[in-house]
Amino acid sequence: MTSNWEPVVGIEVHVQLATRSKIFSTTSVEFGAAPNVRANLIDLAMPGALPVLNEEAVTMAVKFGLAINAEIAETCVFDRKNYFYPDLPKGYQISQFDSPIVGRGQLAVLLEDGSVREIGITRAHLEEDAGKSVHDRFAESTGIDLNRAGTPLLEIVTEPDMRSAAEAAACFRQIHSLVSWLDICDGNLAEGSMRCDANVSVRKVGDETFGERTEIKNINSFRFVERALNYEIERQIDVLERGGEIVRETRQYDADRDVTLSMRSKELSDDYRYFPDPDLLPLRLSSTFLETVRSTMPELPEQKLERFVSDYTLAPPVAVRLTRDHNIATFYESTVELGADPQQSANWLLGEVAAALNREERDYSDVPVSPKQLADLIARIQDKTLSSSLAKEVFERIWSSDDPVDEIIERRGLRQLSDVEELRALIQRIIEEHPDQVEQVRGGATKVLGYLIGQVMKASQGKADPRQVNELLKGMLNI
Amino acid sequence: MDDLTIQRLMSLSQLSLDAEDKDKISRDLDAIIGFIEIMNKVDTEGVEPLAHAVDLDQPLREDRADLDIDRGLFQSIAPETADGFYLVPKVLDRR
Repeated sequence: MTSNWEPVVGIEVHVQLATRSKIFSTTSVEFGAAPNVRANLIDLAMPGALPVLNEEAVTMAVKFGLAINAEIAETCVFDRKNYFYPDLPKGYQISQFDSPIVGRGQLAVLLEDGSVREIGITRAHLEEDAGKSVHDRFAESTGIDLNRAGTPLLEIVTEPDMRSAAEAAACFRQIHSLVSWLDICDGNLAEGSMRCDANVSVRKVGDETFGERTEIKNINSFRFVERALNYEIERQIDVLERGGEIVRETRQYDADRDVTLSMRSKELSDDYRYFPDPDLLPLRLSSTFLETVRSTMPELPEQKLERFVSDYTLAPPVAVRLTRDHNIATFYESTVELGADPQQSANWLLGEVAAALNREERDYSDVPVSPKQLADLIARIQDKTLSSSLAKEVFERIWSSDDPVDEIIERRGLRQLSDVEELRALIQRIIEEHPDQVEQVRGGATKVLGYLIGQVMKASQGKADPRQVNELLKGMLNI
Repeated sequence: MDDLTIQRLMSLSQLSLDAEDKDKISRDLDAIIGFIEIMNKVDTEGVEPLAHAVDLDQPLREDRADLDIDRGLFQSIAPETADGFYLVPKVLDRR
């Protein structure tokens, strides 16, 4: 059914900036405080209280702009977006309308298949968040918590450049990875630090113009972005194939039922009556300010990627995976700087470490092993103290303890059994204990050889090197 | 000022007006718009729009957080509070 239809998707991502205080007041933005203990005169919109712009929020927005090669506005303006709702105490949200701080830029989005797609960023602007309404706690009233009111947000708007739900999810993920990398957002989706709205329409393949679109609001996970869009794309195609029309509207994703539901029609388009906020002066960014921000920019993912490929001779796909996230890149570099082999370090980080993190539903910000432990482990594999199976055992131990690798090896007696005489004696014992099997091996049953190697490994408590056992055993049996 | 425009303004400002008030408001708004029309006649050709009447730049504040907020003081002047929340008449989320 979907074969001759093409989805067109653009997203808007609200990023909560990781400042200490709110965008226009000195109130702390710390998460999880009791209701309204993080709401001062300005956040409560007391008459006469005036906003003063937080320099760090401006710096963070500029960092994002520089990272996507965008034009940074020399002068930008804050506007009032007017609407009435109890958790918006002023009756307007301070936002930016037609002069955003960050203009057009480009974002390289890494897709599932490892390919990279350039997505246009239309703009990014600064604004304040609203408070929270609690509808189900009080029988006769709605409770208002203004702790979140005035929290700095950067709203990032993309061009309608994506052609599938998976691409849109990948773009959201890439923005998440970039703002975490730049350290301008804590990236905590569960606490609402990032929220995604998606605009979606479908058209016949080859059509030049876009179809009518709908907007899905407030999606807070990568998986839900993909699922909500897949549902909505199918729904729109279904409506059009039945000869119906798409109504321009805002929809909400219901994750429990995996459907999108109409919230309100946009026939009467929203009228927010934007106008410049007279309480705030135009923001002019001097070249000195921009240069100062530029000088504090971290090495960006693409730059790191190129360096990993040239300095550590990693294959580009491996370097891509290592620079996908700031935590993994930092962990990798720390491990290599401690002298660990670059290729082995990459293998371990993307192999055993990734698998263990996955098993425990943790991420690279939360690796219980230290770079030092991993570097030591790799060193012990390279100097042949540990076989690969022993290394895995040591890895399991450092996963759950801070003990140094060498101490674990000594204490547990995990050193590889590589003394040939000792190993020969062990093999001799196994040969003597298994006359029938030895007979079969001599008769050409190669499978049984594996059995005997297994017995030797078991007797050595996993400390022998299976390859070495194989060679010695064959020699001793004259086969 | 036609009735549809008044209806729309009432909806945007979340006010409900009876017929008499609507009449009065409609006349007031006509007068205000008439005044704006006078300003609209001023020749602004070649004049750059201003975002602010004062020709100054926005000062910036250092990002320092204040944890010392007296919620009780603020809530003492609120019409109704419970468990730290400000209470308002029950609303449905329309955003």
